[in-house]
Amino acid sequence: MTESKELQAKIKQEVATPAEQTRPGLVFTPEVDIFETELEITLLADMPGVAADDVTIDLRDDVLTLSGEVKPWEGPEETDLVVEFEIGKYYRRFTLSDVIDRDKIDAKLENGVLRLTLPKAKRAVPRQIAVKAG
Amino acid sequence: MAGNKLAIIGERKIQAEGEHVRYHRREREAGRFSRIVDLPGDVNADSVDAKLVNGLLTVAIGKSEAAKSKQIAVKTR
Repeated sequence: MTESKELQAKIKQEVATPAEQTRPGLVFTPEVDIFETELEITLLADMPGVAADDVTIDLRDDVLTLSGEVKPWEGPEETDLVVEFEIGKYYRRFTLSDVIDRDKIDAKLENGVLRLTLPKAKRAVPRQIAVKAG
Repeated sequence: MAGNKLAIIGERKIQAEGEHVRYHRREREAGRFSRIVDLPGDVNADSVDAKLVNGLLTVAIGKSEAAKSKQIAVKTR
């Protein structure tokens, strides 16, 4: 079958133990795809409602922390009728196994999808060493 | 828009990332979606405004004149 399947609405997953929340509000776990090639690791995260300026990416040692603030879109004179998509920030943390070349990290946000490219540092890139015959 | 029903239909596509990638996590989903929302009260189908910003669709629909609340001044004689 070539037909694409019907997407089911999913409820945003709330973070079970957000790290040291200092501000009130909901925190959700963004869904991610992570894949790697020999040269880089790419991470895609769904963060609907987050503007490019409101994404924070932090890489400390091998711990990568993503967070995204969502600006409330409700006006002061509005009354809620149905709320299924609650306003809250996104937060997720990963431990990376490879050494990343920090200077070449690239992040883009398009239509609420964050694309983070983490190039591997030279020594993490596999190399083949040719053996010369004496 | 039909009467006071609003249908939202779309499709999300996720591009393939090439043959030489190795996935660690694959949580994002692609596919078609549709939803019909029953709107409370009468709406003005001529004043619908939709925008898609940061992956969030906002549809603003004007209320019909009949559905707007009105204040009636009470006259004193």
